[in-house]
Amino acid sequence: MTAEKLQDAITLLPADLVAATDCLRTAPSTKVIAWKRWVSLAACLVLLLSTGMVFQRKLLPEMGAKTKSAAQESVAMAPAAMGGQTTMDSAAADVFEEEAAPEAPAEITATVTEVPAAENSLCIDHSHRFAEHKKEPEEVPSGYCGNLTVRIMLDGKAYDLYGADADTITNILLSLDYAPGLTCRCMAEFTVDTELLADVEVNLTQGFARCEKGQAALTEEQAQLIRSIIDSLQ
Amino acid sequence: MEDEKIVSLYWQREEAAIRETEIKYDRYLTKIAYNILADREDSRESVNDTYLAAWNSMPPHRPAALSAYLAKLTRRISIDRFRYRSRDKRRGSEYAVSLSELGDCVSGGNTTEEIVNVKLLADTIGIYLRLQSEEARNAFVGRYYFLDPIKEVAAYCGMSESKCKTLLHRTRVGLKEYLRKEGFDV
Repeated sequence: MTAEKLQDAITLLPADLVAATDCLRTAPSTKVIAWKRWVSLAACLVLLLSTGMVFQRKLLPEMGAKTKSAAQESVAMAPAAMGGQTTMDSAAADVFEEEAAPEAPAEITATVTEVPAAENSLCIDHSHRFAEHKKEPEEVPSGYCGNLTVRIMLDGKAYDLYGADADTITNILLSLDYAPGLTCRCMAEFTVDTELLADVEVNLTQGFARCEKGQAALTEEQAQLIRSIIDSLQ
Repeated sequence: MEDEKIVSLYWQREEAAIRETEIKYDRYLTKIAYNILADREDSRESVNDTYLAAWNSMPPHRPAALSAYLAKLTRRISIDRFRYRSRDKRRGSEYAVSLSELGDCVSGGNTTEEIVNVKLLADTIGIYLRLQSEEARNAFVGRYYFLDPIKEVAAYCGMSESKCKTLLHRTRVGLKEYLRKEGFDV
């Protein structure tokens, strides 16, 4: 048998078999237009990117400093003559989102565009500065014998101070001009509980103290004095 | 015009039958002829011969599917024409390629071919094809009856070219086994 003989036989195939295939091959083709695939792909990508951006905007503020780069998060820390107060921008209703590192450079500014709902009156664009002039310590209210105690919470440990160190810290913290309502979310290095002022958050690097009265800037001398006491604890 | 009316015109010996056939099926038949002959002029002549063959065969024939009937006429005429041409012209023809591919199914010897009843062989192939999947059947008929290029067969069968080639290969191998089992000397 030869292939030609086979072809002759195929010519005589039953008409119904041939007709069935003929219907298929003569039917209008449904070609998939190439550009439609690309348009679909592009649309999916756009949707994906849009969703990603929306999620980023909504989730980023809650994630705080961990999700932002240092460049976006940095805070100005240079000493400057600003009247002895922690300085805040006019955008005081904005929210601090960054957690400045203790080793942060002296002068950095933060610019964050998102404005999430704030629990307190907080600001985004702000800088911490040491106060220039030391305010005279307030008189310890009468009735105290001078033997004050202070508890410092540092790195998860509690340290109790008595005597001169306790008096010094108490006097410094009492002497500050706390600005009510103008508090930021910058991390404190330690907290101080005095008999006259409770739960004061202190950051010596950035030079501020924060309590229920508000937030205030420390002078460099005050910061150094407190630091020397803290160093002696460790 | 509907096929039934065209066939009626043939039976009434109206010359309009050929005109209507040409209007409706000229392109379709030319493609079949061109798949075999790979030459536009020869294809044109084969199609014209098809109209003449249809005129001469109706009556007595009254085909149910006019397109399949005309395709069969065109195919036979074109293959005959092809065989008369010089071997050089076979190059590039889908018919020549299909002969080469169908060589898988047969030995190529001449000892038994004279005694093979072609009609019986056709019936056996038909039975074999009915046992195959619709996909395989359409691919086989498209490739070896209508002699469409594999690319086209794959397109209208809705598969890739490589899958189509594999399917055709398996069908050919299966056909060879089936013919051998049925007593054909392949």
